[in-house]
Amino acid sequence: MTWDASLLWQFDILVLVMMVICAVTALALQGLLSSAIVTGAYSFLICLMWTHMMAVDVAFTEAAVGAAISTVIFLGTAQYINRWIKKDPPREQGIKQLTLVIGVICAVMMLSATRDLPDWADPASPASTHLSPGYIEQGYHETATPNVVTAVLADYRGYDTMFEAVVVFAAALVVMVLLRRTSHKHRKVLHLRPKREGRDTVLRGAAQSIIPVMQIFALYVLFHGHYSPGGGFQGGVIFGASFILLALCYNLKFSMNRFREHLVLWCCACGVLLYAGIGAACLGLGWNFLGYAALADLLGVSGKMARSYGILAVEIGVGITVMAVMVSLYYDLASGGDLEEGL
Amino acid sequence: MISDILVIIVMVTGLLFFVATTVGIIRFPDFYSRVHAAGKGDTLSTTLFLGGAILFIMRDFSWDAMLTAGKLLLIVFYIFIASPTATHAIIDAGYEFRVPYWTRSSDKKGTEGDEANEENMDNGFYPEDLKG
Amino acid sequence: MDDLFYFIISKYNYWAAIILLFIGLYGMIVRNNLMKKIIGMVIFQTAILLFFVSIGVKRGATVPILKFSPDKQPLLDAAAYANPLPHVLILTAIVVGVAVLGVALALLQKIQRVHGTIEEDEILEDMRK
Repeated sequence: MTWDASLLWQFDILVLVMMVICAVTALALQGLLSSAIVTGAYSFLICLMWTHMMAVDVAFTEAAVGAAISTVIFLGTAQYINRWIKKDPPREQGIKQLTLVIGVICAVMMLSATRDLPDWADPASPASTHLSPGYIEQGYHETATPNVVTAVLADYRGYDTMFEAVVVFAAALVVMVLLRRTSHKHRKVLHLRPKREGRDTVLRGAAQSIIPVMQIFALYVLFHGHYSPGGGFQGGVIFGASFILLALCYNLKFSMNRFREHLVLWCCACGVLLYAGIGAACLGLGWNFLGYAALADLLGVSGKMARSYGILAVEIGVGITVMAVMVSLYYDLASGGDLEEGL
Repeated sequence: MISDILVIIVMVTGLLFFVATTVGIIRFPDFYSRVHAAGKGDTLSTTLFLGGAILFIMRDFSWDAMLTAGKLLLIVFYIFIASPTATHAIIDAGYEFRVPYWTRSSDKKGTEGDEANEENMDNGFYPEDLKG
Repeated sequence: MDDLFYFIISKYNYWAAIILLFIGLYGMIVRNNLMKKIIGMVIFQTAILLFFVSIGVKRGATVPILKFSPDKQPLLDAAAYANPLPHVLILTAIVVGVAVLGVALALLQKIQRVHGTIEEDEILEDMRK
């Protein structure tokens, strides 16, 4: 029973306590805008936690998705609903106490069960001794991709990622179907700010200087995902965020003139189609679905380089879908479905 | 040795500014001064802290270190653009929605957002030409 | 005393995940406002993700990107890198999570339009009419 102090447990406990405080605050606050902001802070804290757990790809995704996009769509929704919530009605006090008691009992049972789980950061835990060493030791020889996470994401677990992309695509369609074509009978628009023609010069200037760099960075993240943290998901989200920033600093119409809605829909579908099409092409060449080594003869390279290129093509597909879905979610949620006036 | 001391000085200064920012956010009386503290202190302290990191990396010169330092410099540059812009946008939004601001009189009465404040908002503080 | 200390610092990741999980669940059940329920769902989700990623941490390991020796040979020692498998699962789960959040918020806006409120009891009253 010796403890190796190579992991900073003091740091972890500090961040985890702050996360618990943020979680309680986000649920307890009466104003919805403030709880949306606190949820963003919570996302940044968990991002810090993940960086410290050496999950840099996850932290990158969380910083782009959880802290940026989630907060923006929360705020976009908050302008269409009653932003100050009531105190909970008194008749629910009994249910509250019952929930608390049952919750605490379940939590204590689960906490007592942690004794049987492997120790924190144990290199010999079952999760770390099966399957994953194989990915690390053979991944480079089979796929020529130094970033093991990218290799596993797009090659070994390609089915998983493909259907994740399909789920994201389906979510964008569902949001569109839900918000379009409804009568605005009870619509109470609580605009977050008075309507003005565009925004002021400072915001525009900053947006003009940041957005091109953001887009180049997004492409770098996407195409450099084999060698550094990043890949289709992160690159796509950052690229989508650049259009959202454009809409925030100018207005929704301005962003929609640059990236029109039917183009967004085409991008959503084309990304998934690119992914599935590459899988089908491998199938057509007599290999398994998504067996990128089939492309070796077509591209005139070795099998492992073909898998590397296959990963790149698939990541591009994921990037296009995710980018378009993030923009579509923002367009629909921030404008309430009518695409007139955004956040 | 000298460079180590320099790094420590720069980073500790950055941390002190972080503390000042936090104290400012908690202790200042109204929205505008709080955001002001957050915007200014945060930008300066982040710049100092990352500057300390750049100095630390540059102690032994190599191309890898130069590359990392360049990336950190880019982060500093974009924080330097983005953070004041965000502060500007937040204060602008508060100004347009007439968030009450602190005066000596509101301090004496010990309440926030009282009538005196509302009067100040209507007289002069909020120019007519911005109202539309 | 040493044993207690060891017990605390060797399991705290699970403890944090479980505490956050029940905070999120409690918020989902008890809060009357649907937006708060969604925030509870987000917290619940991140608790599970935290549990998953913390399984893959290894002492003395670094990020799962292969390091190369000066003569361009990769260092292929499984103990030197964190477990990449939970990272892959969680990375996709986060993006799907924001898609789910988008659907939930769209439903919320729709409920606001149809019933004029997002408080649970008022919605129930409106539906009984």
